[in-house]
Amino acid sequence: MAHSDACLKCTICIAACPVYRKDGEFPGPKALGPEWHRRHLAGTGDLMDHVDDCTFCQLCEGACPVGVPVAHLIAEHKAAALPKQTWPMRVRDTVLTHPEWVARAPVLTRATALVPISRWLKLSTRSQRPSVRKAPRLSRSSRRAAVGGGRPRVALFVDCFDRGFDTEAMLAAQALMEVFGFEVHQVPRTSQCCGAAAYASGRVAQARRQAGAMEQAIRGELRGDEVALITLNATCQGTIGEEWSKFLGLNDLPVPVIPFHVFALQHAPAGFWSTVAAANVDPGSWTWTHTTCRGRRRGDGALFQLARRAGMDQVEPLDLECCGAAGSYAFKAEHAETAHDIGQPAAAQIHGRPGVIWVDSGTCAVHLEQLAGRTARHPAYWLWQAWLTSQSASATPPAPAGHGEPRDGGS
Amino acid sequence: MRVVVVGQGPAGLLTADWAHRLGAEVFVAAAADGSLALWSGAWDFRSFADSGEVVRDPWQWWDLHGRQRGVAWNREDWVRWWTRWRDTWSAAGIPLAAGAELPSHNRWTPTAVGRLRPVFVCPAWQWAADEPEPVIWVGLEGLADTPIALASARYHALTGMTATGVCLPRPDAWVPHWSGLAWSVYVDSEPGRQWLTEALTRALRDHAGTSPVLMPQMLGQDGCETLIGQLEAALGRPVREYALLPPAVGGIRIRDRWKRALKRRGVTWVSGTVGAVRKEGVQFRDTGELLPADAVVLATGGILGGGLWLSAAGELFNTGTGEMVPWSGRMEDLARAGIGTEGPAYRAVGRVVGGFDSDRDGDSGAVNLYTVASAMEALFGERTAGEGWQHSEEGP
Amino acid sequence: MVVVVGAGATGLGVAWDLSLRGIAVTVIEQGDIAHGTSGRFHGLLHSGARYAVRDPDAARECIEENRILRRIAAGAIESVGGYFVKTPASPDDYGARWLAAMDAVGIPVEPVSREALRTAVPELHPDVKGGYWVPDGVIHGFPLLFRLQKAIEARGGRVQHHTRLVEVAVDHGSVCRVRVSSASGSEWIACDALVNAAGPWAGKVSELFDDPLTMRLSRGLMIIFAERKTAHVVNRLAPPGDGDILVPHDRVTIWGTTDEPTASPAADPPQRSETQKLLSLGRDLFPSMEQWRALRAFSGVRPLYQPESAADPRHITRDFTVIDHGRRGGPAGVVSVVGGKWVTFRLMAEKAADAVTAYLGLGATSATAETPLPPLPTPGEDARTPWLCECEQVGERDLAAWPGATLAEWRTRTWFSMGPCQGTFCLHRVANRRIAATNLAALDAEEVALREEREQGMQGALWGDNAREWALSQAVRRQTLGERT
Repeated sequence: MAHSDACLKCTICIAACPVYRKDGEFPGPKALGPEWHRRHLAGTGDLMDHVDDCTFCQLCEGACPVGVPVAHLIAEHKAAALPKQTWPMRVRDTVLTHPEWVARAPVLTRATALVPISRWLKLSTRSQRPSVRKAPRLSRSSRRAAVGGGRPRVALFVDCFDRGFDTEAMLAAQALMEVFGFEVHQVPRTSQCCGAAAYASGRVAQARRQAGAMEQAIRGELRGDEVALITLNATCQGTIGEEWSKFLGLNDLPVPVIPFHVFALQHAPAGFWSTVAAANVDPGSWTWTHTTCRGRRRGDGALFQLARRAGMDQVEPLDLECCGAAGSYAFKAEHAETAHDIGQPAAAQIHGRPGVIWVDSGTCAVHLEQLAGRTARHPAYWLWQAWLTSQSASATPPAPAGHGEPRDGGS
Repeated sequence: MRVVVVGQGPAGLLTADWAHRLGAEVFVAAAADGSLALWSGAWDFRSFADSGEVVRDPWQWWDLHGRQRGVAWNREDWVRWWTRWRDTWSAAGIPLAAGAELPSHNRWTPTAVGRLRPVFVCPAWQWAADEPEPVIWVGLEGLADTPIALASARYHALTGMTATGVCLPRPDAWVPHWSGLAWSVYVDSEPGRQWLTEALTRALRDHAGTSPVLMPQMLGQDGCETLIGQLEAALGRPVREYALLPPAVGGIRIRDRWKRALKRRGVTWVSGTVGAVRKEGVQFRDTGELLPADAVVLATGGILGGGLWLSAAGELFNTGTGEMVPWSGRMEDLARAGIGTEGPAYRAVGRVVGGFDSDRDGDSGAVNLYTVASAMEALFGERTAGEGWQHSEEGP
Repeated sequence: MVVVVGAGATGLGVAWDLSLRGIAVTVIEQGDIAHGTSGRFHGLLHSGARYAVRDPDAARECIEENRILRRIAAGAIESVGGYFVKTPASPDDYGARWLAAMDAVGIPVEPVSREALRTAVPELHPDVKGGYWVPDGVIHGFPLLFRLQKAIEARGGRVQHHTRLVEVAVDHGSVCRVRVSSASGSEWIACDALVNAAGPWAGKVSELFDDPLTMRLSRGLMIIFAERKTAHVVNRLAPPGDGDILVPHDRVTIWGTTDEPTASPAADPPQRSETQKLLSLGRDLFPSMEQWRALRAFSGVRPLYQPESAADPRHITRDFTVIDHGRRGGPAGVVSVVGGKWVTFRLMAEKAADAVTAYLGLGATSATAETPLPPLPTPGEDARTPWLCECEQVGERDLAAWPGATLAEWRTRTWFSMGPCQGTFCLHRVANRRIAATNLAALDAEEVALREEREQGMQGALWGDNAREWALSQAVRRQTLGERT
């Protein structure tokens, strides 16, 4: 792996690790990643305890000043430790690393609410299971996007979580982008996984297979004229946009891969923002934004800007680098406590104030909602709600968004 | 005005903070976490003269020698900008040690191995004193970075003052890989706080007097002020920390508080390696994406920070622009190499500027302050004089 | 009593050989064990393939000793195998000549396809044209020498390091005693014979008695990379030249080497210009080599010897020479052993010991080829102490296995400070374990010396991320630890 040898021993990765900063048993990214790997290459890399406690949030990797693929070296370490897993854990991880199966039959997760099943599978009995939020049919009239043909096209990536549990968010994103003046089609048609879950669990070969199949599917469904592939889940975004080419041996897709909220900031016309902002949704209420750990590989603050641009009354970022959910991490019994501890500061920060949470990942939303006791949804959902409010409030709909309008550069 | 700051070490965060206070929309573009987590957070302004002698009054030193080094400030300039910097930290919740409100001279802070080094500005949790005095030097069993045998012997040899070495036995929860940061995590927990209070009380029972207790820097991640207060109440003595090697909990506290404050004010972070700076903005190396900007400030650091890159062929590069940086090629000149404060499409601040040997001379705090303030004056002109300066926590 | 000068592989080998023959020995070493060439080589356990064409005698000795060392020094040998790789620049006719020579010498060789080669060594240049497998290996020199030392001492021999030979006394034409000097003063040691195994200093030593040797010293440069970049030794299939071998050595990789005449037995530290040149020679074998994380560079001095003059040191034989000075007009009872290779140290020692026993009129023969070296005692398991050196995983128990050692001695015996951070994060921790046995001033001096030694090596390979490591080291030293030197 490129730059695996670059480690300066500076410990910046340790200072960025949310698990290290909560769990005293955890040896930290430097020891589990580059230091283990260096010994491993020399044939003396004994497997270390607690390697599975890594959330694969990749904050270590983002923090590393010399580009060591710290988290991906830890994933190699996890892969080497797979044979040590017990059978129930293997069964459990087989399911958890195939979210595309779960997405096809989300009701199955209810079975795990039965405590004996959870116990046997080493599933957390503490973590809330996601509830299924199937969208009511979006009213066509509310979209207001009746612009003529020739509109630019985007592809909307349907991730496993949203396919299975939150078609509301997905359709909200689609409707919004139509309001922005784009033609939207969803990919892939069938439920598939980009490989993120398997990679996080150290199933690197499986991740490669899943990613390869997904890439074929997306390439087959792209029409060639899309300006972007839009994602609603920061983890899938990172996997497709970065890991596929860097770590899973795939070629970059022929379109840029962009998170929905970044796309919205760049492409929603000024009229959209002024309309939404004028609606003044839920005054006096707080909007907490949380960019998930994997989202932070792109940066932090765009969600905050989105909420402000949409005119939310009081916006505050959650003081969390990672909420602890980390995909299926929090659903594993052995991680339940760490996942809880990592996310706990959110509850202290919110502390009795009314409001909602905007977060760019479905599983994080479930986790944060449980921890903080506030509704947590994808920003596309909230933005759509604000748009609907603005539409019902205003007698005359705003002029349709034209693609040719200058972008609102911010400020 | 949109300002893109490249880098998030101390110079980068200070630039981001001040540009935001002066009304800009601020983006921080960074390829990695900044260097704050490596150092305890004590800032030196000028610790040693060229001759190697200790400098007592850094402001006087700059008065006498600043002009030769391209620093034209007089004492009033230093004090004005220094005060802004202190207010900035204070607003972010980073407290300075008593006596550091407007320091007039360097004080001493002990290092983990018992040496003393001059320090001008010290966070409240760290020990610094005008003159060495007898101390209780606490180490932790199982924390290899607290070499108390060595440290107490050396402190005594250097100062003539006793350093009573006290080693706290490890708690049950301890595991061998615990760094100072992991110890902090432990004492942040209720059992950890109890253990520490009891262990310290027991260890000091037989030591009369009120000499200060020097603890390794592990007194909690974020709640250190509370814990220090509780320990002082329990022990009846001052309790302060001495700095450890990275991961440096003091710097981590500063980083966390500062970035939290900036994020709440609406500063936006964009990850990526900047490979080119143009009039219209910065371009990321891997994606080719352009982040538009009206002004770009490079705070990319020196060799360590990655702002300068020494190639195998012995050429030095500005990583922010890919341009070659002239230097003599001699090792002894490497520490002073840099790109200057101004390029065709950017301003530069901090270590990347060059011209100083901050590790040797102990002047990184002054270099950061001077270069960042100069960038602010260049970008915001008159507004920096006071009118446009926002001290509220609300952004523009 | 036989005095042996030099505690490198050859000197300790001679002392071990004589000990096994029942002869009392004292080894005198000016520095620490492996102070000279034995501690400054690329770690290759030659198969002999490198010398097959030009120096078949040396090649034959290499392959024979290669097999013996695997038997007697298990644990200090990595049987990784090596490849000789054809690049577009390899001379067309060299392969055939080399194969014929390999056959004549009797070194096993197997052809390897380009594809198989690229699978075995993925970092290789895509243009390599295939190659051959040979039984190259890797020697862990320091542990092997410490095993020799312990084995000698277990048989009653003495190894006095930091002790210099200053005078050789001859009585009626035969050596009778030597004067040695160390920090604790000088003393005379009576001896029946003297073995000069001082490597590059053999010429200097020979000036102390009346039969000077003319050494042909040759300096070679090596670069250490921080990670094990290849699982096997990689050689360039071409006549011996600069930059033709890459050796995986435990957790690091060593790229070498160069060959230039030198007058100085002390290996002059590498200059950046030299290492840059050596690095650039790797491009056609390993295109990414300039991006590999360099750790340090070092040089070693080959103690070559050839009675007749020869211009190019690479043309001087890699074979060794045992000189019985009494037979050529010098003092009787003095034997010098010069030239040779690390891998043939046992054979060199055997022949030198043969000369000594012949002089002493004893019938004993060498047993070193059949006697396995006892392993070093392994430190007890104690998972409840922290690592002091995290890069190389050195803990308190590892230091405790060498009580009374200085920082420098602990470095080569425990390997602390040898990893990517080069002591930045561990030196003060180890120093704290040393303070009980010394005083602060002496410890400060040891620390400074070790820092300088580490930094000198880093500066020889100061580019890319290693330059950043160096800057980190400077900042930690000066700012965090408050060092002023």
